[in-house]
Amino acid sequence: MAVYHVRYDSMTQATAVFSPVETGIDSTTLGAVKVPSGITRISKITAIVGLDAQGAAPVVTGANFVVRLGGNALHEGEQEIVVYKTQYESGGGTVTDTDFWSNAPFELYTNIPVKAGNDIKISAAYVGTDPGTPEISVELELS
Amino acid sequence: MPYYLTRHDSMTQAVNVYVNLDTATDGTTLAPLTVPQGYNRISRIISAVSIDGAIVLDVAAAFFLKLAGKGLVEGDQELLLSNINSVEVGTSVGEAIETRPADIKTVNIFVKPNNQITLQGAYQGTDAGTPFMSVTLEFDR
Repeated sequence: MAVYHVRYDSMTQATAVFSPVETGIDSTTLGAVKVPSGITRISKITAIVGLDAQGAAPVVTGANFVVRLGGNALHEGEQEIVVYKTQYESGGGTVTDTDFWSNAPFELYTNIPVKAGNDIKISAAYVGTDPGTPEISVELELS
Repeated sequence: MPYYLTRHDSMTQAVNVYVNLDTATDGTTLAPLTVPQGYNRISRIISAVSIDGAIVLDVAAAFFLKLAGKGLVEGDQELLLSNINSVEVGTSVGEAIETRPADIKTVNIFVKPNNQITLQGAYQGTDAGTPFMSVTLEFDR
């Protein structure tokens, strides 16, 4: 039996700064994920990063994205995992054509023990160059 | 029961030269990582490489990770992670937009709890500018 929880957020922060990923799909601020009764582990982490407002984003940037899992639900304490990368280059200073692409998400099957009734706090950061306002979405599969 | 530790670094060095990956996500410089108590192997390596600045034209580079230190039962080891390619007509890269999941590499490297491991990154091929390498080690029992 597995249950799934999703959070997303706009990453308006600077490079190398963690910010909570705590928004629900209905745009409300949900905060941490509370581990349901009977759940003992995070069994899969899924994440995807998009470059929002690309035309306005700084060109010549590359960034790697990290998800941090924290909160009192984690037996072993806070942990960080690299999940995604982005590249945004244009020699002319602006992007001069129209692009479309679609990526598969990052999927990590795992076995992180958690405590039922306690909170998992999701946050995210990027390292490298500021790519504007990337959007990150994270799904936790709890079993 | 896995446990994850992450390091990064901006690779300003020339081709074929290792540099320590000793930067935390918050930008601080850390000591070599210590194998957590109760863990005896690295089970997966998760990595991402992007170019932190202008991409040099007509280059290809393969990226490698070296694990070193007393935390490794079998001594220093080198692993191949990923590559980049840049081919362009003109004087600069006119278009390169990419978003991609991090790479997951399954391994089975024995380690000694409470001992240290140094992570180092290098690239072979042509100097691609300033690659930024991020690595997560998954420890398991």
